[in-house]
Amino acid sequence: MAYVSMKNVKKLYTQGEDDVHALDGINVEIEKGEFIAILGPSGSGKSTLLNVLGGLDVPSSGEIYVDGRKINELNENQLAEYRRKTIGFVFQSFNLLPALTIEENIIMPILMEQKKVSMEFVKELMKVLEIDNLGKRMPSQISGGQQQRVAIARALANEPQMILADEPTGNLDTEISTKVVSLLVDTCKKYQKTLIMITHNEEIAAYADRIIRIKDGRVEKENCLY
Amino acid sequence: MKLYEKLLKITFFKAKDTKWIICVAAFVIAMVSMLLTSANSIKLSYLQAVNQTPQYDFVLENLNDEQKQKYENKDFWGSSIEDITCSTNVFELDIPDSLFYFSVTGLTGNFEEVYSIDLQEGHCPENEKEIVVDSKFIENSGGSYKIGDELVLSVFSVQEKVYHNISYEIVGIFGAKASAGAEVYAFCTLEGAQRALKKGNMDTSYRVMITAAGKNQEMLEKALSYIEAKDREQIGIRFNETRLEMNGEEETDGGGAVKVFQVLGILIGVVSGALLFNMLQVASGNKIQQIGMLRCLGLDKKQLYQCYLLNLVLYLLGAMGGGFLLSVILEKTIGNMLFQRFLKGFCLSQYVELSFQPSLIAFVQAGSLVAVIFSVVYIVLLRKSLSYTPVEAVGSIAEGQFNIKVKSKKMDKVNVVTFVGQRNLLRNKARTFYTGFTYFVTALLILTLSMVLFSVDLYDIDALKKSNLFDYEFYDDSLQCSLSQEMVEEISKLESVATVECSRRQVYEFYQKKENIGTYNEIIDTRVYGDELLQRICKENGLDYQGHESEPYYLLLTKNNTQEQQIVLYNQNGNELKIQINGNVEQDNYCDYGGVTVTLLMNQLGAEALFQDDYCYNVLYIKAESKVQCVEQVKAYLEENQINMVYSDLQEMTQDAKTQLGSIVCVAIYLMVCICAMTITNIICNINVNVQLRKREYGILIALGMTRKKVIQLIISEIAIISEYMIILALPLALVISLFFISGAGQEINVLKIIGAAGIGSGALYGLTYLLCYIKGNRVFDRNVLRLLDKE
Repeated sequence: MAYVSMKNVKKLYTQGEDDVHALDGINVEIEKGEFIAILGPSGSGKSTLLNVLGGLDVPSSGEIYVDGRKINELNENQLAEYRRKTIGFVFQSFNLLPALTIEENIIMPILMEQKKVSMEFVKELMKVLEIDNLGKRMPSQISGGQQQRVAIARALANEPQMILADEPTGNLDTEISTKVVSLLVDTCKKYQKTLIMITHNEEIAAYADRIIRIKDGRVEKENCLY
Repeated sequence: MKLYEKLLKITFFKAKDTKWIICVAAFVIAMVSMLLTSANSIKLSYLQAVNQTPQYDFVLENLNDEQKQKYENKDFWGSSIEDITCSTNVFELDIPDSLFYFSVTGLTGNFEEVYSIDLQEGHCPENEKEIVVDSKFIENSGGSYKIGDELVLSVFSVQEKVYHNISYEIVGIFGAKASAGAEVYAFCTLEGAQRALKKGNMDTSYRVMITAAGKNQEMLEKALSYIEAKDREQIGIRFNETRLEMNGEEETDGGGAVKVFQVLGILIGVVSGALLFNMLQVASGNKIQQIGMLRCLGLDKKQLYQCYLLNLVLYLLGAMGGGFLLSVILEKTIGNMLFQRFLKGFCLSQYVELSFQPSLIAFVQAGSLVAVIFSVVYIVLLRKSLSYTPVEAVGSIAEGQFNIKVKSKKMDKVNVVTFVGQRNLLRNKARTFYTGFTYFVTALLILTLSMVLFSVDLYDIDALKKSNLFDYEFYDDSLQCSLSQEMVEEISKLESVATVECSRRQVYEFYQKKENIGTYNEIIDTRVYGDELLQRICKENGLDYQGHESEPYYLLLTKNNTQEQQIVLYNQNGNELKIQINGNVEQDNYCDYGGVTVTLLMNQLGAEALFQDDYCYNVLYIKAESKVQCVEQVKAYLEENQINMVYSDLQEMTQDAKTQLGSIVCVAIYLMVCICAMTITNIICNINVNVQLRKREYGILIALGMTRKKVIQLIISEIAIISEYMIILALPLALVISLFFISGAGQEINVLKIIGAAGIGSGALYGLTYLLCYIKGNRVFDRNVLRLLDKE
């Protein structure tokens, strides 16, 4: 069985009198350790797909299995546990906690899991992502690229099985984007994590093992650059 | 214009916080208006009472007949005097075959003006046979009297020891004043009063009330110079008597109440300011990004100021409108109820009837005060919001000004709630300070009021001090019965009777003379106590009875703080009897009777010396072995011996007195209700500041895998830490303020009760905070996490 399996997943939003089919029958299977790039025009349902996979939202219908576990039937506390242990989310807008230092932001998932913090691992992570000298700074004192790398480090800190990145380079310039993505991909490969990334950038998508194109809430094509 | 229309749509009409801001501001206006209305009602009631009474320029009191005739003569004063009114002192005329009596005054002049009589039927007396009576008397008599009826009253002749009847014709009925209590009044002409006094061989003293033409102070002084020097020492002279009297009461009573409200109004104003600040801080936090975006789009600061100041005007208009409606509702319901229930007890003056008088002025005052505070806070926060660069504002970097000097502690095995909570509090010092300050003010008020309310005795102090030595007091109001020593001994032998003390009240055989002021026979009251009880009374008044048991011992009970060494009494033959006073006391808690000026407490030997062979009793103080049987047995004995006595159950009377609340406590309860309402609103605003502004942060934590329960714990822990520290900080100051109130109420300071009260107040405040955090947290985090992250 695939590591991630989504079967006929639908998500319906009601806005006033209109129904919006954000996902309209998604069928996807992802193996462990794969790097998947999700492309598609704006409003195609890419972020919704990532949100339901990451347990941030609940699908209207369909089934989602991750590592044999049915995600869409988990209750709130189970979903929280799923997000803590299984998922590492990298947001487009970084979403760092402003009152914590960089180091504290990174270890937050570990503290939530009430595990002992292995500072050696955290420091290694920070070194790999080239943010090892920023530990005592606050998020407001570092650049966007650095913040995104911190977000990546945070996503990896608790050693989750899967990283979900929602346009991690959307707020970054080209040069930094390339660097961040390559770091993210290399780190995930190094620690053998499944990486699912939403991007608009075809060049970045080229790094992926597989590309899934989404249009109008459905999978249009797979593993094709066109 | 179109630009501002659009801007107002975005910034005001479609903004989510508009309703909340207007509602809170309206609520604050309504609360402050209710408070001001209460204070103004007290002041207005006093002013109305002052303005209703005639404005005499000065009054001569305690005149004898000869002096009255001299000073009521206009020719004596010359042309400077406009009007002279004369009245007798108040004297009693009994209603035959009943325990009731009238307090009667005879006077010249216009009855309705002089004593503010509200004549409901008939007319004022015009000759010596006419009388106007209180409507309370008509009601109590079951309508058996009406205008035109004969009213027969009786006057007691001290010399003859008999009652003489005197009849009047009822020509008018006036409305009884609520402040008069149970007392019943009647008015007649001066001649009518003198007719009654003559029958009873009584003298009275007179008052002459003078209005001077032009009300010129110099002329008054000159007029007074006509009064002979020797008279001036003995008669009472007061300038501007009515206003002085009213002002005097206003200083000590109504004025005191108004000042208490004013002081507490300042505190309420501070709480209101804090509440408004908190609320506007939330609003401004939401608006920072909005302002940043508008500036990015090209709007300049001037345009933004104009736009947001228009918002301010609209807020204030909405708040005033809403506040007016809410204040009308609050005042008609809770305000009026609270005022009638609690503040009426604050008025001690018989001249004043307190009434709740809502007025537009109070609302305008409240609205203006709140508008000023609101505007100042709003403009300060607006300026701060506009001080950031557009990029800072849009990127919410403006919110990220944290203190980075806090060192990170060891980060293994740390509770994540404590970890995040501490850092949030310590690194965002501005927000922590504002939240803490508003909480401090709230805690100060709540703790002070709870200490006052829960640690004072909510009872009438005098009632509490009554001992339980007696269960029943048997007495004879007609003063005709007499019990001999043998009878008292027989009663004490009754099976259900434990102890009997006895006394003789309203003694007419002896009287005091007051020469040159108006000679009249002052009834003296005597109370004869056993040694044990007399020792108690002495101790309560700072005296020592020990060693005096074997000699006549006399105490003089007086309310006017005099220290008499000796009093002189006269018997019916005019013979003088000098009594050496062993001590002066201010209170006798073992007798409920009071009403005569001179009261002598004495031991058995003192009674024997005073009365000699003519020694009998008309009051019994009985302690029962068996309460129910005691009443029956004593009554049976008295009936058998044809002695007509009634009794009062002292414990029941004490219980009734216990339900009275002191004036300070009344005000404290009234304010507690107002402040509790504002406290709840303030705590909710505090929670909103910490939750609403940071819901994105909490969304991040949930997205990272924190359960909603833990997020709620985080909110609670942050605010709970602040509330704990602020309660601890507020406690000493609250203690000092409450001690001031408690001692002002004349109560003893009970440390244990104060500690207990502080505990109750702190616990209630902390518990309320916890509960509101829990409710708010559950409401906010019931939403989809994406909405918290603003991803939807």
